[in-house]
Amino acid sequence: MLTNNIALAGYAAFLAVILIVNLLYFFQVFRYRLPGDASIPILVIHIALILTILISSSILLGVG
Amino acid sequence: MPHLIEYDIDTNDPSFLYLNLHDNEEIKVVVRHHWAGFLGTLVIVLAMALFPLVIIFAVNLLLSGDLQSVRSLLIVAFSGYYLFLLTFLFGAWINYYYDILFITNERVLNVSQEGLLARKVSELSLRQVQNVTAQVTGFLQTLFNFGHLIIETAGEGTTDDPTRSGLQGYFTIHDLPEPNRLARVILELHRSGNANP
Repeated sequence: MLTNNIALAGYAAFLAVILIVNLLYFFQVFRYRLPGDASIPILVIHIALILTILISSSILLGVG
Repeated sequence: MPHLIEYDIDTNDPSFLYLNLHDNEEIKVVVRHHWAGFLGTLVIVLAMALFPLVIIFAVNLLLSGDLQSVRSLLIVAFSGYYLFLLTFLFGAWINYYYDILFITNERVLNVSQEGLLARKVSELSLRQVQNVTAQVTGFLQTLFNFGHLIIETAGEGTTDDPTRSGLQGYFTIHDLPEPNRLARVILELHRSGNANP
């Protein structure tokens, strides 16, 4: 039980770091994108892929 | 050509504020690096994306098919791995896509994205241009018509190429599409600038 809690805490810390890095990247995209470039479509695809991984892993863990 | 953008740009758009354009300065060409320069990173990331399959195969062999006992651990590890990989790929894409070359009627501005929140803008007055070299080497560069643009200047350059030392500066920009055409554009703007100072 203790091992599980430590693993979960580690995973939560990792997710927080990934979230912060991604938020900084998003800020950078909105700061430096040029009108009409491919930044927003790529950003949407990136967010969709991240959400797919997060949601599917949560569902798989919940089912197990 | 989607990567060689030429259009009437509204220089009053807030996106261009960081370039500090002069009053009568017009952006003539906006160029991003050629997509083939990003292929290496993409191939590495795709290869890394297949790595968990090898792990699953190995664990399956070790545990004699009893993956259920480590199922949760594998799900957490792989989701973390893929999140890291996606973030790495997005960062690499930003580094590639936000490297932009602006050619105006007065200057050449090379914007170089150097990681998270790090950006370098090098500029060169067209008056300082002495020679422009387009360098296309190798199979991929010849096939997709991209390469390096080396601008020889009267002042200091930005190159880190030790074979090009001396009093002249070299302003080197890598992986640009249609480098011969860009070289011609820069020289024509240089000449028209000298004709109408």
